[in-house]
Amino acid sequence: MEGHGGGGVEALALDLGGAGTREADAFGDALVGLVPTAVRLGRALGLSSDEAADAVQGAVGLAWRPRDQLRGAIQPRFLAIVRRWAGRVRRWLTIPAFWSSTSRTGWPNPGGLDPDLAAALGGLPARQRGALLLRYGLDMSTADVARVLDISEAATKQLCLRARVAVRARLAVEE
Amino acid sequence: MGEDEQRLRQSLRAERPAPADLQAIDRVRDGLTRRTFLSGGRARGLRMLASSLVFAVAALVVAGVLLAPRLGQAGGVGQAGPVRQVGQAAPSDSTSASPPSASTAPGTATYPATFVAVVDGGLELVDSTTGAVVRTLAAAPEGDDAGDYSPTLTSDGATVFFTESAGGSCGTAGSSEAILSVPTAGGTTSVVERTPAQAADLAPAVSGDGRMLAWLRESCRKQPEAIEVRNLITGAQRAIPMAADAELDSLAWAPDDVHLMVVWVAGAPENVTILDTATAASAADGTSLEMQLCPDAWPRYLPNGTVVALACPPSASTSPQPSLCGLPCLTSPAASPEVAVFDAATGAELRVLQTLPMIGAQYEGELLSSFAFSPGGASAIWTELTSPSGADVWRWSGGEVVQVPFSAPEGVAW
Repeated sequence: MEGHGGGGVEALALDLGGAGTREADAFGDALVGLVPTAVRLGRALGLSSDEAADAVQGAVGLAWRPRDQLRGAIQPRFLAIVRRWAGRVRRWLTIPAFWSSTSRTGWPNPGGLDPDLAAALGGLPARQRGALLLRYGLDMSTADVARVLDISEAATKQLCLRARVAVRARLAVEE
Repeated sequence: MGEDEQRLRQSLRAERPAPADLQAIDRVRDGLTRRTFLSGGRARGLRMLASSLVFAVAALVVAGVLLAPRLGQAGGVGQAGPVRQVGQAAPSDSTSASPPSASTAPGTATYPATFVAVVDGGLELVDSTTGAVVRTLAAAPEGDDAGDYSPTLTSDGATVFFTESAGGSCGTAGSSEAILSVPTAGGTTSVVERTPAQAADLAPAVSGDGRMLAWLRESCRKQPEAIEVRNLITGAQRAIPMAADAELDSLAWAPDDVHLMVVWVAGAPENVTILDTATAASAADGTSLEMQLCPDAWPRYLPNGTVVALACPPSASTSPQPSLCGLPCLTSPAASPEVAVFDAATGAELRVLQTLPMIGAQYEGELLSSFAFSPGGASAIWTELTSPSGADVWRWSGGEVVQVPFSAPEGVAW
């Protein structure tokens, strides 16, 4: 997985080595299926759509080379990398907001959701939003959520509890 | 399942991606299908280039700041300033009450002979050297998601305080919680605080003299959170309300057993606040530690006015991947978490005692799940997740990092 040698914009390209072994193809196919979920996680963590896509691309790059070492379910492993890469994206984008062509739209997308609930979720800290999305939106186990967030299961339960309490409080205020 | 959980589940499952999200998904999928990611266009390239340049300039400024004092020491004209010194003497456990029994290896600092581990929702007392279970302190309560969590020990290691959760959502009958204590020498479990209805108690912390207990109380119905402080001798209790959007990470008692250091994840202007638990007053301005602290790694406030904590440099939670940078990668030379000593008053980092090569040392390296210093800050114990159901236990004491042959995925403390 070497970067292209050209300069400028092309230097940002990432070559995954082309279609190769059957395992690589299967792994790539598995990641393709996870992309919507990964982008959604990035959005829940406060990234814009473009930033979320950047984070997922970066995570793919990290997951690709040691793909043979991935054991067990791919989803929590991959989402954990996305979460960490999302933090990196946020740290790298230190330019003023007006310079960015993408607006930082809110999460969740209010379409299809109770507007009050969407507003309450959108007002939570990023970690709480991520925890709720993983636990309830994706129906992941507490252990898998803990793995994605790099915290203990106990801390995960506490985080989810805090998030639910905060959502309830915000809904109560709105009512 | 609670009503709020059901509502969240239904709603979040019903969420549909916005058009911009669909475009982002297509962009990534397209790159994956072709096995090649091309940049999202010149605008994105310029943004990345700009942020890289900003990062490079910042790195040069930081390098200048770090090098200037050293040049001065070497005979230059640089002004003297704080210097990060790696490997200075660790804090000593002798500055605080020593545990009743401790293990010492030649050339290393003393560390507590035993630690408490959460295993399958129960508490076990484990030998710090051999990893053998000494005794079961508390059996796991029955029920899904039920368990004993967040153990914290008195500085003499004689008593462990912990929270017990029966599972269920906040405010339901199944969520009844309590703060309990049990002697590590064995004995009956005592109820310190029965959590009232419509509330949850989390993260207890006991003072150095063992007289005061602080914990976080969350209400199911209203914000803000409050920190409850209980005098374990007199039973007097005080609730100190917190800001509505504050998210607490950890608590650490000051050596005077009156002030409490509160470490925030979010919602506070600074990441550390010192509370006077006697008056419920906090310093007008919080302190911002120079380094970002690792989550779930509780610091220790030492008698000499310093704080020993686990600091996570920005690159510690990611795996540097130079081929993705396009421009030369500027990664921190200290990408692993550091055991660092801070000045409690100013937040300045005084020295780094040890770099712990765990997170970020290799791809998808073991993940830190809990971290606790010994009472004097001279040693620490932590867990690194290795699988959904397994976690290695490691201990550090005076430059020595040793794996303890024990698995404790739900956390450790000493």
